[in-house]
Amino acid sequence: MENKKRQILIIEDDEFLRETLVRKFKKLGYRVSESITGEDGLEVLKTAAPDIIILDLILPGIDGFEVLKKIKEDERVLRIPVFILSNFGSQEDIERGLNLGAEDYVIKTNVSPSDVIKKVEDILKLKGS
Amino acid sequence: MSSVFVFIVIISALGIVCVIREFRFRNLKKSLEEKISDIDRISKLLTEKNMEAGDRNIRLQKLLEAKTDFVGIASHQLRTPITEIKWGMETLLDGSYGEFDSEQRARLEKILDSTLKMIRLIEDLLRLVRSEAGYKEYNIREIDLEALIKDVGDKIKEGFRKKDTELEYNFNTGGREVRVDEDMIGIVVTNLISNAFHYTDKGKIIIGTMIANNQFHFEIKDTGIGIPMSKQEHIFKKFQRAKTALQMYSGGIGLGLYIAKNIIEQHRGRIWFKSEEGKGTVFYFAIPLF
Repeated sequence: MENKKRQILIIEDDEFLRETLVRKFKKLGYRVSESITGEDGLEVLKTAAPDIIILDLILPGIDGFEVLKKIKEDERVLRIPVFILSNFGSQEDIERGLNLGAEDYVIKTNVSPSDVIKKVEDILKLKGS
Repeated sequence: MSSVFVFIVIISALGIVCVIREFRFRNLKKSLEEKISDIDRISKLLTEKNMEAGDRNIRLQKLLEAKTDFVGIASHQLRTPITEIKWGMETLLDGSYGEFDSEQRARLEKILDSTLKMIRLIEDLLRLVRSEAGYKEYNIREIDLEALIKDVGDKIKEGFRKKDTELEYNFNTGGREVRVDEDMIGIVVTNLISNAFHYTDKGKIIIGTMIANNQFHFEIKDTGIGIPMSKQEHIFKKFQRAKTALQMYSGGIGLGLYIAKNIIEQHRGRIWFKSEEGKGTVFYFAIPLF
């Protein structure tokens, strides 16, 4: 029920995966914003304050690491948990993501859309929002 | 008169000697010039070859870099479409797009199952390419290897919770840090532990560690089906899997131990095993601490 107020920003260039997540989160009552590029995601963040951000790493313009860096430099949005969802999955990438301040890092093939929802809910519960 | 004659003879002889010497000198000069031009030619050839070798080195270097890049790009490019198939199947099965009857569900589940198998094969192949990349490409850092082993072991045990197999740790290094590539050693440990679980239907798996001879020693002992004597010498080769093992488990393509051997050897270590058919297997690896 409290999900009704929850807002999520999904930055993902793969249309199919994005739509899959959007559909699932909307069904749960989330307000969903979508971005295909990192630049657009940062633009959305200028006016919106989502409770959580799902971030892909390989994007058409600036990559997800760059987006994450910019988020963490911006006092206004740096506290929003960022959940990296990528198919890049070396230990190096994972550490880089977590060191830049991501809340979690998950490889897409290793999880189902329902797992993603569960992880997002866990993060939000942890953050008490 | 005779003295004039002798004088003439001497002068003529001298003249002949001079002519002969001049002739030989010319010949010598000519052959020297030829030799010099030969040397010139060879030296030019060598310079060319050297440059070619240099070019080839640069090309090889680029190829190696490309191979490493390839792994990163290939893993992303291969995972992307297969994630779409997997997520598509999963959302069909979780009711996001309405309900299916049991026959339809069974077919969808089969497709998802094959997709998961395909993902495992892709991951295996990517691991193979990475394991062959060479030590320079490895990301070596000091890590607590026992913590990594326990982490992997607990996860695999959870996946096999339906089996009546116990897992016990016998750690003796006190969390000693070891210089390894965490990803790569993680692959070795995952392979060895999941093999032990795959081939042990009930009984016990014991994982032990210790430091000896300035090396980190790992061993995993199971009470599984064991490796037939005739298969033992092939076990670390590419695409090998014992027939009995093939009948029991066909989740991969038999690259696991080949990859594990590659990785351990890249860490300047060694991997070996002892096995008795019907009784069980012990796999060992040792990595120098330096």
